Amino acid sequence: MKTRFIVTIGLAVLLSGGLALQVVAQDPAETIKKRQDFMKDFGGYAKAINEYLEKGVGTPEDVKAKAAEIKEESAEIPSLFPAGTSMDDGVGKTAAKKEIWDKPDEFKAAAENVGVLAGKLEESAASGDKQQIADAFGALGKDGCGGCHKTFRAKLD
Amino acid sequence: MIRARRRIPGGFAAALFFSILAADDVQAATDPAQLERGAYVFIAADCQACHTDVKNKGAPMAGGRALATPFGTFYSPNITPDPETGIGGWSDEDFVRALREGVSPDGDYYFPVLPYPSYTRMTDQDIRDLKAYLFSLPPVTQANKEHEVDFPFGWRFTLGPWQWMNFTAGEFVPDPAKSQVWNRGAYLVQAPGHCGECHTPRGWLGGIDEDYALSGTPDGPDGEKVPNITPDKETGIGGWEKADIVRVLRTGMLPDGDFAGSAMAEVVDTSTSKLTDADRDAIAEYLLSLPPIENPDAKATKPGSAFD
Repeated sequence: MKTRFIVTIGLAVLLSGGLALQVVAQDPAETIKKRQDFMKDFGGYAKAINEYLEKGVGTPEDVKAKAAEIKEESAEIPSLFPAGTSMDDGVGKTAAKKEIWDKPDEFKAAAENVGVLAGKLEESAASGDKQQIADAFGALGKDGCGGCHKTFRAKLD
Repeated sequence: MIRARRRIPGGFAAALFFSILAADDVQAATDPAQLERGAYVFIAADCQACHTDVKNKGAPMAGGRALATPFGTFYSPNITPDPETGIGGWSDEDFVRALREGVSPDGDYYFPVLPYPSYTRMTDQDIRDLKAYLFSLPPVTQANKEHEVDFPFGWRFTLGPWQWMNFTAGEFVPDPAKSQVWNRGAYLVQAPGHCGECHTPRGWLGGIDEDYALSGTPDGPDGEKVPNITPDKETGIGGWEKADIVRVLRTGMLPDGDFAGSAMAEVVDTSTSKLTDADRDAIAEYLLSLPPIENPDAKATKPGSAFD
């Protein structure tokens, strides 16, 4: 009896835990928070790289590491935008335009472009040449970040 | 007989004279220095952003780009030198009148979605150089699309009174009390750059409200929010360094590491990133000299705000 009781409780706990996890994954507010934090991280990387270029803070090695982070993490971008989490869905304060879901291929390509351009920045950082780094960072910012924001993100505040 | 004989060389000389003039005209139209200047004015005025339908892979300057406004959806016209569907048949005077007065060669008023209330402040030289450059581009045959304007704004005859109420034609007048750099910045912002067309709120008839110049609006093009770019500490760019402005114009990067999106990403891509460093500096100097205007409805990004 006792064993059965424990097994039942155990199953119930597992089941409810699983359900809770699923609820968390589907909660648009959580999704929005998660991707905003994700993008703030990207902003932090960009700011740090810019500090190196404008003020000489850090080294090309630091830039290379940040570029590698951006390259790797950018692959997650499409998964951060599940259906039903646009600014028109009324699920929270988000700047995600419905174009993300209207043009999924274009959105995916824009996200992939971030990875490609971050890869180029990584290579230029490896060279250590400041002008090359500046050019590659400019392209990543303008065409990568800006290229995606141009079509898919609204201004909020 | 003698008179007649004399007339022939006279007529010949006149013909020669005029043919030299004509040759001069042709040369003027392809003067490389003028084309170079025109190409730069074209960038500063960001003609490409509206006159190319990038989203639908439209031909450069052939128009057709949709622009949603509170008054309806407008489609930009073809400004390639195609004589039938573009502006190939326009004289220099036609072109100057279009930008200076907002009137087409047929005498129709333009909807102020063409930012002629800003372009009117451009110098004659800049407008003529721009025309020469546009005429050097490949002509594209593409008929213009009808605007979808909400009642009653679609009545073009209402545009005459609209102009009378909301518009004063005239070239930018430099302020002799200010520096050359400041005046250059003011010219770029007010005339070709037409920054106020998005960054200044409009009255209910769509006229630009100069009392709130550049203080942003929640009702910008495509229904988007446009930030306050006056140096107000709380709601504008009062906390920005000059270098922050120069950087956003050059790369689109905001002081918090974010990158501008929507229409401004386009402006950076097709216009401000291609300006000279001196011109970006001039714009920044001018913007920071403006009277600060508070506008909580359209805040600018605060430096470092994303990481507080």
